[in-house]
Amino acid sequence: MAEVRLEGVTKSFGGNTVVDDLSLTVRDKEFLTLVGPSGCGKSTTLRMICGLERVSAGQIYFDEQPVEYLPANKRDVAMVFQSYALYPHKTVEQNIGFALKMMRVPKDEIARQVREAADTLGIADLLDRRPRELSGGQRQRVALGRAIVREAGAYLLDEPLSNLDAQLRVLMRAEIKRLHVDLARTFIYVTHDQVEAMTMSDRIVVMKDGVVQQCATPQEIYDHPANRFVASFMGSPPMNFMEKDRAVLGIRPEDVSLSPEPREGYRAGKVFITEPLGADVLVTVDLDGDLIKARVAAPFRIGPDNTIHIGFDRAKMHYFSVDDGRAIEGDAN
Amino acid sequence: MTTVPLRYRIPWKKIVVYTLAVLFALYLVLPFYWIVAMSFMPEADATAVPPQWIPEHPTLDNYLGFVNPSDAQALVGSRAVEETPYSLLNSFVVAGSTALLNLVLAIFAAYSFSRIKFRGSQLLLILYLITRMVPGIAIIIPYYLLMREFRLLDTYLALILSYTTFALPITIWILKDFFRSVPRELEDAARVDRCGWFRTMWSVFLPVAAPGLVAAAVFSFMTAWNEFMFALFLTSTKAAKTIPVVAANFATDFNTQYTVMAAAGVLAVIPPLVLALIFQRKLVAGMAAGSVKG
Repeated sequence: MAEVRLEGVTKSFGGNTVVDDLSLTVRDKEFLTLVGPSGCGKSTTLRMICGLERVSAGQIYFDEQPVEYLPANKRDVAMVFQSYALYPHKTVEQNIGFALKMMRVPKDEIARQVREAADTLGIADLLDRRPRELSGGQRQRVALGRAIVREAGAYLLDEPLSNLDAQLRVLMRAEIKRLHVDLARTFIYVTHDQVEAMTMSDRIVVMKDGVVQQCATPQEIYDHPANRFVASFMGSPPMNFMEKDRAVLGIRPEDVSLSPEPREGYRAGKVFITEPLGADVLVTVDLDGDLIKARVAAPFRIGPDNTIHIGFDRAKMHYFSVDDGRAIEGDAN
Repeated sequence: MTTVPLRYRIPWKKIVVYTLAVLFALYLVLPFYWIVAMSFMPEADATAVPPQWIPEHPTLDNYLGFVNPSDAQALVGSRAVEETPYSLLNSFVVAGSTALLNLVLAIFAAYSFSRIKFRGSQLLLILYLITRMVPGIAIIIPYYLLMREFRLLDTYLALILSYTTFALPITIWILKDFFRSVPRELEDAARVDRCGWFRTMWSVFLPVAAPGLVAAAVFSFMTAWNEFMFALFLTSTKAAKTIPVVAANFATDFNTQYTVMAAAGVLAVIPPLVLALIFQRKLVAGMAAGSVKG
């Protein structure tokens, strides 16, 4: 039951500001994702929330209580680390139950709660093993188990899926999202993967160079990116950009249509390369020197260097300022 | 169609490597074997030519002499025989205490060096090593006078303090490298799991660093167990004399009791040998980790 509020939080290492004047409210029971390229300050923000890093300036509140003076072991949070950070000398059972043991929960109660968490995550048969005897996916589950076994105000997840292979990542993504529904707690999730951010979150915070670029729902961020950085970072493949009359025009590959025949409003270009994705084909078109990506339904049978006609969905065009990359209001959508 | 005859190649490289390995193993093991064999021989057999590799008249007399010193066969060295059991106990107490004290001090120092960035840390580490470069003989007289002033001559404390100062710099170096290899996230995880600093150290950090701790403890135990010169100067009676000093007393100007000396040697080797066997696996892991991660 925790609302987490950051107020003007700044973190500097030496003279280097990693997080700059960040203000943010994570609502109770919300799934909020901090996303951005590496070095954008998202992990540092998470570490400040859980108390592993002191803030240089600003204040952090849990349910309106300032917590900045509290060390990590006194804050009501649980965390999943990128490297899992399982205790190698303890069994899975001891790993999951360790925090409860530190909280002096009676032994049989620990055993019961560990069993419950292990059942939820499907690792009940691994309780006697040690971390080195587990696969990557199993370790990941143990790391999750260690967090969910206790009732924390907020669950912090620092790139928990980045060490898994692609297939397992998709599977665990869904499981974590389901876990959030079942537990109904505040989740703060850090990732550099925009797909994870889009698919899992109630709200997304896009960060760059320690500064929040936009904080909104996934759909809002997709439909109305606040600036050129957000537009290019969120969405795969990224948005196409073309400079036009002192503005930058942005259009997502899925809003570009192609035609072998000339059509009204379409412009002629040449097919640069095609990349089949199964249901869709990603076609790169050379349009007067600009390489524009279009995502069209398969099959697409026109080979490289052939002429193709390209059209943009006007309703879905975005305009950004040439100077600072900000979205120019009114034009988008 | 031509067939290539299957030729058996003599693996010269292997033969040479294995021969050298066996020779080296013999070089290491034979002297030790000879001591053990001799400790079960009567004095006459030990000096027989050709040597008896397997005792022809095996006897426990050399060992029984330590239990009941009045039965010791020879006059020369009989005091050494009498002092041997005490000196073994002394060595054990001194080496054990040194290992423990050294470990406790080194853990705090090495942790600081491995986790906290501070100005001059590298210089300080090198300074520690420099203290080890001073030959003991150069400081032994002032050191002796100092100990006499503190009324610590012929006490365990004098030896424990001396050996700890010898072993500490190297132990800090061993542990510092080992501690650096322990992921910081483990400590973070423990903090989030509600541990304070001491609890984090006790329940997570030190168990994970156990191989390094064992290597460091065995190293300092051996240092203390084998040390001769300081023990010779600082102790004079069976109250604190250690086994190397007593063993040296077996050899006198006139006579040397080879077999009794061999038995004392075997007794002296047993504790470190048992230690090494018990901690064998952790020891190897510790040495390897310390050596690879510089």
